Amino acid sequence: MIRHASAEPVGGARAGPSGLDTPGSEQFRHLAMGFRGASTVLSAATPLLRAAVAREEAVWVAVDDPSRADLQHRLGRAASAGVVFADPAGDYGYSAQSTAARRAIQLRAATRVGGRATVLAQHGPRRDFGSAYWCEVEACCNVALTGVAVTMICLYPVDDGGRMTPAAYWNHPELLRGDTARPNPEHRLPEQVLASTPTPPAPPLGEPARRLDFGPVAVVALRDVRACAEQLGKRAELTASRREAAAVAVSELVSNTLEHGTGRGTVSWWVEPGRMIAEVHDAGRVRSTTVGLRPPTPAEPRGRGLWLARKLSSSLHIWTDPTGTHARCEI
Amino acid sequence: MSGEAPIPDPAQVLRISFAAEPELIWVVLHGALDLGSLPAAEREVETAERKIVGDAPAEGRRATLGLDLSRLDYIDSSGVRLVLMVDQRAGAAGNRVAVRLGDGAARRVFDMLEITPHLLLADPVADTDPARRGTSR
Repeated sequence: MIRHASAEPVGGARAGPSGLDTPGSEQFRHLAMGFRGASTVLSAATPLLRAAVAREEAVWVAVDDPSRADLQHRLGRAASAGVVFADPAGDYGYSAQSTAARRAIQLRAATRVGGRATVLAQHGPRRDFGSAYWCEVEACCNVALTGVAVTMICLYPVDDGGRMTPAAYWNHPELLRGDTARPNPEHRLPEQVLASTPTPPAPPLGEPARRLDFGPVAVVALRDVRACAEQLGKRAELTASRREAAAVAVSELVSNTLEHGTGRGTVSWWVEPGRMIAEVHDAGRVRSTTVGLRPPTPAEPRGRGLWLARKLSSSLHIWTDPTGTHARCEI
Repeated sequence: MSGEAPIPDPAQVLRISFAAEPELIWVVLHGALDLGSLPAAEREVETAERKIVGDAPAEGRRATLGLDLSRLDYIDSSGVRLVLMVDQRAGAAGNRVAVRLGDGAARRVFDMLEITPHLLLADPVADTDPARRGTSR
């Protein structure tokens, strides 16, 4: 269990009479923990993970190989069997928002039937992604996991002064030391973080296989999108279900432009064996690049289009530039 | 591509038929339900809503509108929005909405959006069901 240093729970988490957090609360808790030596932090994390396994939570751990072996030894065989060890270097693409979306989709599924999940993730320097990327991932996780019953503990290395990278402070409402969580006074709202680290564009792809201009007549625009997705999906050798997914995902992006954007735009398509990419561009400016990272409540009739597009895509990256808004989805 | 072909009639994209049962009207949607065909679907569903309210059910019974989405070969979040809005209106009026998703496009989209458990489902349905023998408009 994670103890709260303050009498009041942090971030809306409910606390029991003893001041301990209450398992089963549908509250996302996002904690940062600084470490200098891996063994120190693992000795602190071990009882937290063991307690989560005992509560029959879904427990995921993404640490480097030496730490994994150390942790498995500390947890013992029985507790280790209840932990899913993931590759900390795995399943990351260029799109931080897509990484957060994938995590949220997995964790929503893992906690759907009233359970809770605990995640321990080790952050370290990676050559392929800079600190801005990880900062955006963390901020997008704060958006995407709101209301999901997850405790996510992020391990960050500290410098000689004992400080973590600034993004660790901006993105975590709580700081964990040992088994005690303290409110983090340097925490910022995700909108503030993302305003200071604008979403970068997707990598260039070269000349598209096809360009489809669409206008404000939805029945025409969406018919043409479906026809393109079907035709180009076959060229990409996608299965029927993936062609359907592509048609729905791209249609949702186009519908978004028709309903909330400028009413006209362009879809560019790239095709290669087993993969299709579509990018919708319009001249408007999206209010936030994190749209669609979490679903509306079941009672809310609207607001599911981009959520659905994100679920159907392996990656959906939204960004703005002086020419307008771009949404690139990969199937 | 847009502009090269004549603008299709939304009725070519989405066809709507009705089937009546005692205290129940099924609105059966065929084809594609998307943002373009949504206005036509809304009009027809509103007509059916007025009809079930006009045909007042026996005292103490709630009127039911049926939405049959099992014949759709394409549906996106616009169709989900339609169902949820109709369901809200029905609930506010003390009525209810039954939904057939079938096992095709509608089922996949509603399942993916985690809406299915919140619906009053009328699946599965045998092909002999009278509600499937509606007349296309």
